[in-house]
Amino acid sequence: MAKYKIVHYLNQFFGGIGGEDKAGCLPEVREEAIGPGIAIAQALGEDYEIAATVICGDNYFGENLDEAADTIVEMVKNYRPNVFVAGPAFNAGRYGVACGTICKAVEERLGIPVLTGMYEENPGADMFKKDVITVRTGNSAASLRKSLPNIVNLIRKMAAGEEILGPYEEGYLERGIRVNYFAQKRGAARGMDMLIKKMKGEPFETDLPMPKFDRVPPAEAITDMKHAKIAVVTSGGIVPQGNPDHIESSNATKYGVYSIEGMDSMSPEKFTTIHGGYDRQFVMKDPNLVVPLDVLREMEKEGEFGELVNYFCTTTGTGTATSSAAKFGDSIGKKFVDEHVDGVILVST
Amino acid sequence: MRLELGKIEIRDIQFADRTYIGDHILYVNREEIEKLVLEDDKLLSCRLDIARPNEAVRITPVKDVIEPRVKVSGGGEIFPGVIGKVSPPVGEGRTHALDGCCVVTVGRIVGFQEGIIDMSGPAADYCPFSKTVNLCVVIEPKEGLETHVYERSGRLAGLKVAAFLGEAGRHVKPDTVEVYETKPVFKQAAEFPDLPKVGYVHMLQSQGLLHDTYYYGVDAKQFVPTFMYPTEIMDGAIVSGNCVAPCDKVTTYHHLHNPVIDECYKRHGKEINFMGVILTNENVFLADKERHSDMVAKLAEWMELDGVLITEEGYGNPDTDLMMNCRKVERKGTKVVLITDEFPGKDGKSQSLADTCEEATALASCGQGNMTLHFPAMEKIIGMQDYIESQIGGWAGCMNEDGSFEAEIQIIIASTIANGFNTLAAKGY
Amino acid sequence: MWNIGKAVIVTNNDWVFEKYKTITHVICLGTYEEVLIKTRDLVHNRHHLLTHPQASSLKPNQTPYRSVMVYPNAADDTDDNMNDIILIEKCLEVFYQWQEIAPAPGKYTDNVMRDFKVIDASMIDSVIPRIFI
Repeated sequence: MAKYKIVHYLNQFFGGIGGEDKAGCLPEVREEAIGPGIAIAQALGEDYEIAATVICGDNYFGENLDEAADTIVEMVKNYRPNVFVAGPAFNAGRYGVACGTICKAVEERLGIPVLTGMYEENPGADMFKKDVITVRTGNSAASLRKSLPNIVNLIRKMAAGEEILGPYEEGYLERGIRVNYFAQKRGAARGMDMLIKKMKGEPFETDLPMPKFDRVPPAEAITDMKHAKIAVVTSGGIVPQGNPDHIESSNATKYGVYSIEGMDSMSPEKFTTIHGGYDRQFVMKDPNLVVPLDVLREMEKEGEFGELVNYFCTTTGTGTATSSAAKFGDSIGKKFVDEHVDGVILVST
Repeated sequence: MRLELGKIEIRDIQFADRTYIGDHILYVNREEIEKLVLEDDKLLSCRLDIARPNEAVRITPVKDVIEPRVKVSGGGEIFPGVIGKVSPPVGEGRTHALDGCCVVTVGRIVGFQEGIIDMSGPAADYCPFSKTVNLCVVIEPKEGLETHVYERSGRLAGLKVAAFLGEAGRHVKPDTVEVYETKPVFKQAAEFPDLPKVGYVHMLQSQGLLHDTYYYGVDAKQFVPTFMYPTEIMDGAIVSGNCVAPCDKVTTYHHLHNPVIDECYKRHGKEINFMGVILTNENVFLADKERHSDMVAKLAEWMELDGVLITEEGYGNPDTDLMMNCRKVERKGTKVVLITDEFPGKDGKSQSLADTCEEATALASCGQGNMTLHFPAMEKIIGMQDYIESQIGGWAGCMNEDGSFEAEIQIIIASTIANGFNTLAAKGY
Repeated sequence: MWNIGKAVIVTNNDWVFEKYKTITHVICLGTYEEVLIKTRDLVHNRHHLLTHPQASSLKPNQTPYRSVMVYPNAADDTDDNMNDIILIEKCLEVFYQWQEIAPAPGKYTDNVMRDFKVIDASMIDSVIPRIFI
C-alpha cells in the first residue's frame, strides 16, 4: 500500500478524451494515473499513488464554474488524498484558469494541500499564483520533463507537511507574498552594490520589482462633436446569436466585428453575450446595457454627434491575457484610423 | 570639509555623584540630569533609568534616541541651531562620540506614534537599540499642554541630555579615530576622475506638526533642496522632531549614524567618488513636491553625478516624493537606487508601496512592517504599557493579562528603518 | 498663482472645518472614504490636487481623519490634470487595500481622537501659508 494518495486533475486533451471538439465534456473520474500523471507517479516512486484522475472539458468548466467546482470537489473528497495536483496547464489559458480555480476550491473547502503548474504568461497564472503554488513550466507539454523534478519535490514536501522554501529554490511562480529575512549585508550596503552594478551597466536584481506599466497617453479631446464619427468597442462579450466566430467566453484569442446597420437598438433575438465573468441574465434580456445602441441612435438623430459607425467590435475581457488585449487594441485602432473614426466608446463589464 | 570622529567605547552606564567617563563606563549624576531637564517649566517630572542589552526590560513609548557627542575643535557646537549655536557651521575639525550608549526619551506624545525597544527576547533582533546601553529619560508634561508644545519639550530634553553627556567625552582619549572628508565640488570631482561620481539624496520627513525634522534648527518643510557636506550630519546638523510610525522613524541617532553616508565613505576612493548629500523634504503640498524634485534633479545634474542612492522616511505621501525624485533624476541620466521599507499587509500580498514608477528598477528593501511577532512579558517596563493597543502595530485586544502581547513589527523603534541601517529585508515568495 | 478663496478643502475633521470655513470653501463630510470619493469627483471635474491625499504617513486604516485641498482649473488652463487623477485613484485603491487588510478601528479614546485631529489639521495648516502669497 502506498503511504500517500494523490488525486490528479486533467482537461479533456491531457485526459485523452479528445481535442477542442470534446471541450464541453462533463467531469468524470478514472481510478488510475493518466497522461502526465503516469510520469508524475513514476517519478514519485512507490510510496505515492495517484488514486484517481478527474477529467473535465475546458469549455464545460469555463462556462459552469460553480457547478464544475462543486462536482469536482465532491469527487476529490471521496478519495481523501494527501495532495491534490492539477495540470500542469503549460500555456493553455482556459485549462490554466480551470486548474487554478479547482485548486483554490479544493484547498479552501477540503483543506488539502494543492499544486498546479503553468507557463508564466498563462492568464491562469496571473489570476491564481497568489493563492496556489504554481510550478513554473515551459509553454508546451514538451517541457514537462524539465519541471517534473520540482513538481515531484513539492508533492513530497506537501504530503509530509515539510516547509516549502522560496520560489527560486522550489521552482514555482512568485506568489507576490513579501516575507522578511535577515540579509547578509545591511540595506545601505546592498543598495550600494546595486548602484555600482547599475552604473557599470551590469545586471542586478532589485528587491522589489515594480508592477508593469502600460500607460497610453489620452488622445486629444474632440473639438467638433456635432460632426464626430463615433464607434463602440466592448469587452463585454456581446455577439450575434450563435456566436458565429466562436469567441471564447474567457481568455479570448480573437475579437469580432458585427454590423448594426439599420438597427435602432440591440434586440435580444439577434444578440446575446458569451462572457464567462458576470451574471449574464440582464444583458441577455437587454444587450443595450453593454452596447448602448438605443441611446446612441437617439443622440445621433438629435444631432449630438455626427454619425455612429455601423458596426461594433467585441471580445471577452475575463481571463484574457493582456498581450492578447493589446493585440486586439492595435488592430481595432488601425481600422478606426483608416476609416477616420473620431471617437470610441469603450464599454467594459 | 574634514572631520575626525573619535569614538569612545562605552560599555556601561552607572549612576554616580558626578558625571564623567572612566574605564569605558559612563557615570551619570542623576540629579544633575533631572535638574537640566526640569529647567523646562512645561515638564512636570523627569525620571532616569538604565537599560542594558540582554536585560528583561521593555522601554515604551519611545520618542527619540540620541548618541551623546561633543564638538572638540573645528568650530561650531553639537546640534547647531537647536542646542548649539547656529553659526559657525559644523562638520569640520574633531568630534567625540560616546559609542555604544544612547539617550532614549520616553513618554506619551501622541497616542499612537511612539514605539518599543525590547532589550531581550524576539523583538530585540529587530531593534538596533537592543544592543546599546540606554539612559532612559522618562518625562511627563504638565496638564493641558498642547501636543506640539509637549513634543518640542520632549525633543529638546533628549538633545540637551545628550549634549550634556557628550561633554564628558571632551577630554577623553578616543579608542578609535575615523577621518571623513568631502572636498568642494570641483576638487572632489578631480580627486578620483576615473571613479563614478555618487551622491546621496536624503529625504527628510516634513509633513507638518509632529512630522518634522530640523536642519540647523530650520523646520525641514520650510527649505528648498540644498547641498550638504556629509560630515555636517555627523555633528548633529539634522535632528528628528517627528512621531511617524515607530518602525521607520529616523531617530536623531540614525542621522548621526546615517548608514548610506557610512557606506559611501567606505567605498569612497575605491569603487566610487562620493560627492556629497542632496538634502530634500517630503512636503504635503504637491507644488512643493514638483518644485523640490525638479531641484533635486537639477542639483544631481549640476554635480554631474553618475549615480545616487535615495532614502525616505515614512509611508504614503513620502512614497510619491520618492518616486518623483527617482523619475526626474533618472531622466537627467543619473542612475538611481532606492532604499525603503514595505507595507504589504498582514498576508504580505498587497502592493508594498503607496506609489510606484517604472524608473524604479533598483530598490533595496529594508523589510516589511506588517509581520506580526509575539512580545513576551518583561520583568521591568521603563515608561508604561498603557498605550500598546493604540500604538501603531498594535490593535484592540492584542494585549494579554500577563503583560505579553501580539503586534506587528511596526511597533518596534527603527525595525524597518528605510535608510538601510538594518540587515532586515523582504523578498518575494 | 493661487487665490485662497478659490481653494476647496474636503475634510471629515471638524477642527479643519471650523478653522477655515470663513477663509475658503470647506466641504465637511462624515468619513475618510467619503473625503477620498468627493476629492476624486472634484479632480475628475477639473480640479487639481493641492495636497497629497495620504499625507501624515499614517496608514489609511489608522487615522479616522482626512483633509485634502483641491483647486479649480482656470477656464483657460490647458494643463491636463492626469497626474492628479492617477494619484487620487491610486490613493483610493490603497485605502480599500488597507480596509481589506484590517478595517479602521471604529472608536479610539478621546485623547487619541484629538491627536489624530491635530495631526490632520496640521497638514492643512502647513499649506495655507504656501497659498497666501
